[in-house]
Amino acid sequence: MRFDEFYAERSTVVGAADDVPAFKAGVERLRQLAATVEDDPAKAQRYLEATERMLLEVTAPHSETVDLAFEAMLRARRVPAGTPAEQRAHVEAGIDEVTRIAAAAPTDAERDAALDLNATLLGVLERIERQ
Amino acid sequence: MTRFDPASAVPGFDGLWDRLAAEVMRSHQAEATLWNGRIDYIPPEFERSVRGRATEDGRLLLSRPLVVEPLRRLYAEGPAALSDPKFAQECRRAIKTAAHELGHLTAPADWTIADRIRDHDRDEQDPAEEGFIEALTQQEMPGIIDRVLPAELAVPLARAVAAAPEPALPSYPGWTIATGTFAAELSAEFEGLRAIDVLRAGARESASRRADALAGLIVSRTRLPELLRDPERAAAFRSELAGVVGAGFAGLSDVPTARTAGMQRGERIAAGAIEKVRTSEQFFAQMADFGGLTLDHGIAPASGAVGSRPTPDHERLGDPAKPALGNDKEGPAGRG
Repeated sequence: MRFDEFYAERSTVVGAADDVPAFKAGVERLRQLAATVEDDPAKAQRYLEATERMLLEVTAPHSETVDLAFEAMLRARRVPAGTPAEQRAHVEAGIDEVTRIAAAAPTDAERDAALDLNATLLGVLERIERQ
Repeated sequence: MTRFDPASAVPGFDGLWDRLAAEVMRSHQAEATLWNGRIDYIPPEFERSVRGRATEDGRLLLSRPLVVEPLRRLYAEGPAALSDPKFAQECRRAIKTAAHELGHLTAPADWTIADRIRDHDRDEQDPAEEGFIEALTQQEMPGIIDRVLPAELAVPLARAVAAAPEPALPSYPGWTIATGTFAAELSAEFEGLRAIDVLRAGARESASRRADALAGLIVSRTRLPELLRDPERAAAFRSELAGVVGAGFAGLSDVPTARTAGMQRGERIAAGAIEKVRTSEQFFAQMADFGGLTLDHGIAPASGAVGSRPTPDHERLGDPAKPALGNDKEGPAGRG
């Protein structure tokens, strides 16, 4: 197999990573294919290892709390048109929302990881004040 | 290097902040920090909702109850306090927050507070700014604790943390995962380039020059420096590549939370940059094979052909010297 064929197959596997069982099966298939790459086996091996790390990432424990807080932060940093006071109120409401989500976290680690997100929103407030 | 300002509101904790600032500089391999030595408290109205913040004027702000109080208790009570693993984890996270925020202040040697303030207004740079710094800080944390706390605290803290380990939970999950994937993809493409070096190149740079620095790193791993000898043309190519990278990270402003989305976005940003350099590398190499055409005045290749074959590492001519770094504080096209 040529490297570009391996790379194309790998792109298909990564593009379908939302389906974790299918992603696992795809990584297994890439393991077999990597061993057949003739023109650049070392690079194929490196891309295989990067794909295996992606699989670890996708299947690692994650926090619903931090995910929710991240979404709230993304919404809050989209500052609507309006007066500075209105914009400030929008961002402060976002800080409050992230803080409420963090307060309900099942663990202290999740609470603190969620609260860290508010640093970005404090920065958005600084931008509004300087306008 | 800037030292902790004793006029700060936050206690000095026997040199902790100086050691931490130096450690962050070391881990980022940064030329300078814009930290001005001040560490004050987050305003009271936000002290329960914001853990830390690097201000645009170079101060570090830390939450009194969430970050400073655990450290005050640690220094007041000593190792005995660390018999509580929950408290030990609280201390670890306090140091991590301070390290992350100090990471925002690392910069090139010529960078100034005025430059930082100008950068700060470019909100499209937030995803890369947070993603690179968080990804690197997460990786460096165990060593940072060892090096910034005195041994009588660092050893029992490490022991307590190991006894009750917590899963690594990066803040900014979509951005951090995208950044980590981007770094891993470049490491896969370019033999000898470590993912952590990509993270460092992104984390230590000022926001508006980050994309250009990453473009320079990528170009330096290809044949392009020898194929594109004209400085003006090389700079134009690097600027285009920086535009690809910068736009990719700016696009993370709306990344869905799902881990796979961040991962796939990071992979796509890297793939776009790799395709651009490999396609151009092939084009200019073929032009050179035509026998002495002056490439520096030739036509540029079209945007990377879909499915174009990346040049295998063994077909390259070794590691060319890094191209000259541009020193334009505005960065490529005035943004990163």
